[in-house]
Amino acid sequence: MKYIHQIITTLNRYIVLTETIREEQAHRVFTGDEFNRIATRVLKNNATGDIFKAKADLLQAKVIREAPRVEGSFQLDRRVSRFLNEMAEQESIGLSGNIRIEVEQLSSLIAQLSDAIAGNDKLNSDQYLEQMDLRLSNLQSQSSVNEKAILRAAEKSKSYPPSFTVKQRYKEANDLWEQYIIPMLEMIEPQGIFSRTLTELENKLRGYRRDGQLMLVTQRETMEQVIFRILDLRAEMSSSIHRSQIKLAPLREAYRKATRLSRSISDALTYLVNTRFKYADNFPIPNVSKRYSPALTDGNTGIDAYIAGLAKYSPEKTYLPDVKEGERGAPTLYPEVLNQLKESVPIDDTLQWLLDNYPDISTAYMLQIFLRLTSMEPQLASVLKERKRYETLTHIIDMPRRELSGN
Amino acid sequence: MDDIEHPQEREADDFGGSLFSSNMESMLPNAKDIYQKLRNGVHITSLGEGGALLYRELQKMEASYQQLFTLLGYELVHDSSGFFYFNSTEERSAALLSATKKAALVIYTLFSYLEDQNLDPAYTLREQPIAWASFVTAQIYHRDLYRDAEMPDASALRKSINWLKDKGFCIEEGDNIRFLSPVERFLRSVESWSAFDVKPDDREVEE
Repeated sequence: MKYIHQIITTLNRYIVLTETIREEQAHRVFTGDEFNRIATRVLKNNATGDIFKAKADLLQAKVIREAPRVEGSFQLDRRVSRFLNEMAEQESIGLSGNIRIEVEQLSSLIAQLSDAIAGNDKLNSDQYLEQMDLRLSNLQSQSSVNEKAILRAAEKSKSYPPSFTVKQRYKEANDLWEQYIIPMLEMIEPQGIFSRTLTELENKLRGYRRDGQLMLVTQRETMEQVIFRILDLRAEMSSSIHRSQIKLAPLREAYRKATRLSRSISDALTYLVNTRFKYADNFPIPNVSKRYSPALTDGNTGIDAYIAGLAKYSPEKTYLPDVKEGERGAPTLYPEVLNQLKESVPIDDTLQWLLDNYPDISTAYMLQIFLRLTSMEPQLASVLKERKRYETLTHIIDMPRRELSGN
Repeated sequence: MDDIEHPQEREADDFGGSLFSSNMESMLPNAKDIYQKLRNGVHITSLGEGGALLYRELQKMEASYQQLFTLLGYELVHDSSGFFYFNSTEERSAALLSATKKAALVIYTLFSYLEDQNLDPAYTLREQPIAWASFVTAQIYHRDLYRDAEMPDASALRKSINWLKDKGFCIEEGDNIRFLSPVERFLRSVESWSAFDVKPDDREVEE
């Protein structure tokens, strides 16, 4: 325990230095000079004593060891470097490939679990369920780690100084998009391997629960847990991907736009080289206007006069014909027609009578009245006569004449 | 009397509202200045020389100006990048075309020069003051193109920059030149241009 305590304290004190050594000299033997250079850069106060002390402390705790054979050379302790590597991985993005492998192993576990259950092998089925649980929680943590890594990359792209080219600035975002977002989107779509496997697993487990095939209480508990994990994971994965997508999309757009712009400009310059300046009629330029026709402002008072004219302007009035109170074209109502008609029955030509008495109403309405009079009034009887031509306001109608008589 | 006057007032309101009211002078005090500038192809931004006042007025009374200039036969464009200009459909004179083309040459060669210097060209062009020396070096870099465009020396380059300055595309700050938002028009035109690579052929057939 004492050694563990010592190494962790030392690591804690010199973590920046150790981290830098790991990044720059990973798995390599480095000389005392190289160590000094890194230490001078990392440890802000440049006192030589500090550097020696750091070296002594690190050696004492066996964070760095003397390299074999070459005197005065060191290397990072293998266990420490492995530990740092593993910890650093938590910060970097897992590839979509890793997730795919997890999912594939999950799907092979499904097959193994069904075999075990079919063979009534309690020990193995227990084990497989636990492995599933582990893999699912792995997937969960990977997705959140990846999302964080993407957020960091997005922030980083924004904080580069302007001396960086667009390509450097947005390269990481663009790579993440192509290597992570796109394959992940494929996986989580309904037909993708991710969704398919999870659905299959969920259905299987629900089936076992229904059939009571998992007898042990612990097994049932684990299974419940796995089902909940599946539900969580499914929701979480797709929303995490979408959040990352939203973060990366503008950066990627900026990247593409910048590359598009520089490509177009080099195209335009090439076009200019090939066609000569004089004849390059299609050289892309904006339309900058300049009017040569005399301006209203050429005279001193021009625009004022013009605007003064406008100020007095009012649109021409349109007059609608006046309508006096009594003359308003009241709609012809059927009861009125009926009453008037009743006074003059019998009539030998109904439609002609309507045309004579109500010349203004539209043909359709007139025919409607005609129909009601001839066929729907119980007090009137109509008789069909020979065909005749009628002329309404808009139509010529060819139809049999009808006689009307009161009953 | 009231009954007669009332509808007239309403008509005036419907037609143009404030623009045609009698106190036009006080409402659009810089109308003449704005009109003359825009008419000469100047882009009015809030950063251009003396532009702050005009830009603010244009922005505040945009609807009125839109109507006024429409009546005068111009199309006032308020670009989303924050500048005003007249969109003209008129035939451009050869001199104007050539000046615009030369300005475009300056901007595009500068862009490609900045890119070669490992700088972010679009960002630099849009946001940063650019040293006069960069323009000169870009000219030397692309000296064949410049010679072809009859801009062999620094004074011809100067002329082009002055033209850009006159039209409100850039301002000068000491030894530096800072491009303003209207430079987007150049970038946009070249960006959309490459999408129509076939265009040159089409035009030749037509003419």
